[in-house]
Amino acid sequence: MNEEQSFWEFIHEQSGKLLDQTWAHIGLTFISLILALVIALPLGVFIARKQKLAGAVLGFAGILQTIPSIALLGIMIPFLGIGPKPAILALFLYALLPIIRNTYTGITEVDRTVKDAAKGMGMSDWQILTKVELPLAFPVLMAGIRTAAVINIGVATLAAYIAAGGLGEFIFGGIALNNRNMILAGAVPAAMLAIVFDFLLSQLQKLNLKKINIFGLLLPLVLILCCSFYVLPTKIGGRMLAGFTPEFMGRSDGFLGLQQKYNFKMETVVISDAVMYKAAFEKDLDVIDGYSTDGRLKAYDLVTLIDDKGIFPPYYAAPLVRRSTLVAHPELTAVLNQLSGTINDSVMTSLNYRVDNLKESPELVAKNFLQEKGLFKRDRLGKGATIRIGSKIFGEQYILAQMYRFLIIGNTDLSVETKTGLGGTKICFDALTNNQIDFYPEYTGTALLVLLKSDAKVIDQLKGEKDAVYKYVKDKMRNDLQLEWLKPIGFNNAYALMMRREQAQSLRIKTISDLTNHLK
Amino acid sequence: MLSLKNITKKFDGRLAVDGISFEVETGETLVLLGTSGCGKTTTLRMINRLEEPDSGDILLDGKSVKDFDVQELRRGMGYVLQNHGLFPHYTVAENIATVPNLMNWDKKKILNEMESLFEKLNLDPTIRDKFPEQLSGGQKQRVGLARALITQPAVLLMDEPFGALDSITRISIRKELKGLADFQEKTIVMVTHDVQEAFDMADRICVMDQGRIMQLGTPESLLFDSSNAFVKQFLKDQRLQLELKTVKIDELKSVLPVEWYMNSGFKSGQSVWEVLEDSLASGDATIPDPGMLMKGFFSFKK
Repeated sequence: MNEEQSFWEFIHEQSGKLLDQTWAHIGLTFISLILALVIALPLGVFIARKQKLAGAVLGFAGILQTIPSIALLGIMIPFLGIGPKPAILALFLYALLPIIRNTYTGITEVDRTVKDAAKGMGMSDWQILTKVELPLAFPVLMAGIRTAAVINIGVATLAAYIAAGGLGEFIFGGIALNNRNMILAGAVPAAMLAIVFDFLLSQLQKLNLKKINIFGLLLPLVLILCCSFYVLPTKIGGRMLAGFTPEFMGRSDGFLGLQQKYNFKMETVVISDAVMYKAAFEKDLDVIDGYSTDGRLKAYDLVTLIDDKGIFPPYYAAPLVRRSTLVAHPELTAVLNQLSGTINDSVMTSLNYRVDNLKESPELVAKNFLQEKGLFKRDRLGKGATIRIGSKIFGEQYILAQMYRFLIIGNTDLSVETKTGLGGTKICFDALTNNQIDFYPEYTGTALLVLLKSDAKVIDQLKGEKDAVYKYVKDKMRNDLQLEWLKPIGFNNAYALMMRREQAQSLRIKTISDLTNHLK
Repeated sequence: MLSLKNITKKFDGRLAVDGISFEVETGETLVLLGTSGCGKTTTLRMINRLEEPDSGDILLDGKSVKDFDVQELRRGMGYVLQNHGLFPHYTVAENIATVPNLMNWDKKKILNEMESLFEKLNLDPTIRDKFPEQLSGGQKQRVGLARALITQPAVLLMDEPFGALDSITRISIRKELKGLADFQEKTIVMVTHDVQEAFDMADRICVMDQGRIMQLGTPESLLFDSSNAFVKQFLKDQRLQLELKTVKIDELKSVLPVEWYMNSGFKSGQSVWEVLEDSLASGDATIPDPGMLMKGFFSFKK
């Protein structure tokens, strides 16, 4: 195992990236906040004047607030593509409610006598607003802006899902890679940003805005807005763009390997696996990383590029089981091994396609497959001990978990509880070692690189050979962690680079080397 | 001169002001007197167009208030509110300078006017940079008056200006105001529910009930010439004191013995009430003999 890198070493090593991400994060937050201010402040004033509309406007902004952030980002991809635009729009929508509501509340709570006095002194509506109402509502208004700022800094981490950059790149990369330092390198600056922003805004609150000067206020806002655009990642038109998941970006058998072995120098953005394929299909991205058995390959007509220099190690799937579970229920080994050798790459791809793209339930797909292979048996309704099956949060794992469930309840008297959708590798593996699940399907390559964090020497020795990798992780985990690898299922869900079929053909790109040559 | 012509105002279908007409002469103080909800405040607020009448017209020096620019109109009328209505985020000086600032007065001019107002209204100059919440009730109301008076408007509208003050402060501010030359020259419309205050301040009093005028006249005519049952009832509890305050000692000349009249040492123009107070304060109850004075007062009434 590698010597554990300290947090500070990580920060030091990644300082350039960290700085970029922090600037992008600040840029996203500022732009969306200022845009929200420009819309929400007048709207708040407007509904304070026309109180009949207040319920409807606040209600609508409230509904926007309840849309889950990831869903909101997802909804926007077809209209705005990927990158900062949809992220800013989403953040803008989230910032609306606190600002509108606090502007409205602040203004309506100004003492009636004071407003009457202002009117009776002969102030115009604009003067009443700027000299009396806004200054008196200012503390409440600022509280709303502070709330919006803190919300936005939090939600802006999700911008990393749609290639808009920000500190989410480290956070989600860290979660995917089981790298605590990386998570902290994103989370700590994000938390600090929230604290610093809140503090600065609280200082602004103390300013004497009695003689509020609208233009004096607008000028710095516009300046900040312009600066913020400058720090955002921008897509350079005309050139090819790659989009990789946070996990891929941080893996030695991912982006780092591409850079080292292929001298890969393409314009690259970070993006969530959930929207990446779609973005490639919509021509927002030209090259993406993916899994060779992913059903979306078929759905979006993508082709995998041949890894001619062998940087992607084999990822053969097999059940990873707690030894204590196998000792307690020895019949389990044979039952789980029934699946071994039944699923190759193309079979798995089409099973995934049915779930991910045809929206069939994983349960049904699993059942049909077992029936086809003659492995399906009726539920024995056993009352024995409960076996807890885990799975990561994607279709293939759901299907495998369901297959194992049918096999266990059909062949033994054990009962089954499935804990599917356990986030990334780290969450699943922690659940296994902490005895919260009994087994889950894992991939040999992931175990080698992510779970065991094997050093480069070991990896080089194994030379990416399927059996050697399997044997290494099996022995290592048996000895060190009391975990057992059962027989591989058969398919190799390895990393691969993908392109649109039509583009790959027109550019005559078949291998990763072809791609890097084309870029020169 | 200010004149209201058949003014009507409804709120949610309910008549708040029902066909009111009156005139206020230049330099006159007219007090609108009545219980809460009688329409007196609404009547006042229609003069500077904080409310618009449903029908009727209000003329300022012969010109309808509707024909003025509304902000110009309001800036030209001093406005004193119940509970002072000071801007909590402005200092005393900034509050007082509100209207001059709206009218783009020169800074020096504002400072000069403010200085003389501080003196006239007995305001401590050290409160200039304080905020309203740091002031006593009496100080706040004086600042409110200063804010209304600084541009020396010809018309002054006062809505329960002393309502929030304790009785001692109220009486002393009233006295000071009445003594001010600035104040005496102005056309003033004041709203109050306090009968003593109305009699104390008014040249003429307009008693209102349920949006209508019950009687409009001088304090004397309200006391001695009233045929209106509502007015009689309204004044009943304080009638004796009001009468003593209203009748001047000079008016009793014909009914008092000549030697009493010569020896009592009163000043011409004092009310009977004031002479009585002086005689009680002097400790010598015989000169002038209060019993004789009361006797004379009652025979005068007959």
